[in-house]
Amino acid sequence: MTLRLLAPIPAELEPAELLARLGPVLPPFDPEIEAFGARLSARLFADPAARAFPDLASLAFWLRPAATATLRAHVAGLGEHRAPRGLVLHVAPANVETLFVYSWWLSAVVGNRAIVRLSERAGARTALLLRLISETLAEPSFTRLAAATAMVSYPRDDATSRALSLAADLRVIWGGDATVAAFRALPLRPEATELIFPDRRSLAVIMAADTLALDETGRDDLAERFYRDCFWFDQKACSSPLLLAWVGDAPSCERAAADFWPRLAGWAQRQGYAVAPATQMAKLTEAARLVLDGVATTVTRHGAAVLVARGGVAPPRPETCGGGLFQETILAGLDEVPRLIDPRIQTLTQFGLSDDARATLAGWLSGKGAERLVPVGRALDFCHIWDGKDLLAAMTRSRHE
Amino acid sequence: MIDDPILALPPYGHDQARKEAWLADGLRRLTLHHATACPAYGAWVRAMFPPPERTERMAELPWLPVGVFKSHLLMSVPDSTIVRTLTSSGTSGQAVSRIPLDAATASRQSRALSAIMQTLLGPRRLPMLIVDHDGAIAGGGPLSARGAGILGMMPFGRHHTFLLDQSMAVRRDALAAFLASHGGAPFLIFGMTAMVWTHLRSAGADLSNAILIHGGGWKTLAEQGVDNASFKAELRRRTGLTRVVNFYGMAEQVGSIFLEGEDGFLHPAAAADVIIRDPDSLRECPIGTPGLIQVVSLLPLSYPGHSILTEDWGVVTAMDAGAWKGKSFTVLGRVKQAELRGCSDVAGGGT
Repeated sequence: MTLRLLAPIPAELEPAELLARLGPVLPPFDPEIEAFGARLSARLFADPAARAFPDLASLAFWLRPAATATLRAHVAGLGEHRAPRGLVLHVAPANVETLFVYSWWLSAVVGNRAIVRLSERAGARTALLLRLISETLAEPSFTRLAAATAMVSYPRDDATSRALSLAADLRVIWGGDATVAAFRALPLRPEATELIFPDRRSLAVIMAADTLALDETGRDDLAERFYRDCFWFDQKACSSPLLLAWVGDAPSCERAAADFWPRLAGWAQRQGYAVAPATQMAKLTEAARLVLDGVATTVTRHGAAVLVARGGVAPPRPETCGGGLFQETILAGLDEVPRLIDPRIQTLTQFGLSDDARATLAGWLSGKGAERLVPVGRALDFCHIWDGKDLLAAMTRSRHE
Repeated sequence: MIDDPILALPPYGHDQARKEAWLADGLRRLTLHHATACPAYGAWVRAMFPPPERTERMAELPWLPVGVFKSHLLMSVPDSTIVRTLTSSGTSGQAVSRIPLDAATASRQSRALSAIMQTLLGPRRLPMLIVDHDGAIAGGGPLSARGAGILGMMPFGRHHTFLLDQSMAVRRDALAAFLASHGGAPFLIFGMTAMVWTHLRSAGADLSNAILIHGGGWKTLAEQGVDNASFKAELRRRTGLTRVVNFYGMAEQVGSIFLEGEDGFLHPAAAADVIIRDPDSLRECPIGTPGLIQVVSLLPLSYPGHSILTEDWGVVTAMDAGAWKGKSFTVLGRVKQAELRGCSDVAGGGT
């Protein structure tokens, strides 16, 4: 079997050939690596095609020297002698197209060699990113990083995945329960380790009184930030909220909801967010199922994009069609939030929680799920701690004497 | 409700305005019946729609997305009265719809189908060639929509002959014997569109006296670039077949089929209709504007399938034109699948 090397230089080759070609590890935060991040960031900001995608701008921010300095400080905090783990195999998800760069960059910045397996179904963002990464790696100042990097694609093939897995010191699997299960059947070497990111889902908690205290601009701004959390990846990113819980007395919650959803729908329309007819059908079907199962009791449409199924206090359902179907519930107080949480909940985006309230809530949620508590608008911000796991710690090893 | 006088009307030739009046009335009563008899359905009606008893227009009455029949067995009669459960023909690995029928609903379905077929075939029962194998109607277990279609059509024929054997090969001897006995006078051929295309086109037979009735969707043929016109032209060229009638129907509303008229478009019978909806606003589309197809039927009593929003895309082409009056429409295919982004590798599971 052959696999397609997509970056740094396109080629068709056998897994063994690829592994033989791959260059050695680099020291963590080698100046060559840090300079590459700055260079790729600048290219992303400058490229007219990249500017059309707001999520690529987020990525560009994340590659800047200032962001890399944050990562360096974090690794320094892990202990004195951190070394790269070795060869990291990344299995990227099909559809959050920027994720492969985040995953690869975290491993590269601490000096690892990397093979990044991309989905064959990758789209326009992936092609654009591969072009910019290849062009940058081809510059003479990045030859060592280029030698240590391989972005590949191949059809589903256990033999290839097995060969790459056996070569890896760390395997990182994104892409849902099914992919995780399939890769877990393929062994790693005894001393190798694994980071897995299975299906997770997320929700939002908004204090009704705090939104009602906002002026028009503030309310629009909240809706716009919520839009970014949900619609950039068609509500299919695992950190995009599927459920919105209003906290407060019932009349305030009703007023806040009646004000919020039309603003969100209006902003989605002004952004030109289009919903395919098949997605509209999937949303209506899932909304009907929520009602038939007694999970929701009212279903309300707001514009073309937003469908809201109001129901009782329970975690969001695992089946989700995305595309703007929201479960909604009303909580009398924050102490009811734990009833929305199960171990599959990843991110809780919030608005209106004071520092004290956040600390109290974090205590209630400890060990239950929702390891990530961020403000509305920050759901998609990637972080080196994800799903409660410290990626930089996993991508390095401690040397001690 | 069981002896609805509308079911005794001729299937075609009614002005849309009059038809909508009795459909709105009948559908409203059916909605209230099912909302009471099937509490889960009642919850959906209350969750999504204004109260049916205060809804005047047919297009404003509740509907149910067709996909729920794949996840939920919805029933408006006691379990003990179910005489047959239909299943839709899903491709392997996909969930199938399950439709519970009681005797009254099954009887309404066959009476409605009979009235529609007599428009086409007259009162005589014609010799009937079935483009399938006899295993499709074998007993035991739920009946597939394909089997139900054949069983539903068999009363309109006689001397039934199955064209295929269990391995889906043409039974040439049986075909020759059938044509020797019946090929010189009008006879009936029935089958699924894709199977007719695969097996009948190349059967090497003279079918010039036949009337072909076929349905079940164009997906496979559309992928090969075959449309209704080329389907007809090719069959005519290779078998001499001139009378070819397509129909549109679904397991969720058996008996309420939409027949192709002289104009080449599909027509709802008296107890049924289509409403085309804009997928974003869900409002009814004007004539000529394509959208989601909603199908309504006065037949279903045992399950809340009297008003279904399908995943098919279609367009009303004319209203009250031609002898059949009412709406004429065409099916443009399944709604387009969007590629949603997300973390989860939805088509994944491999390495």
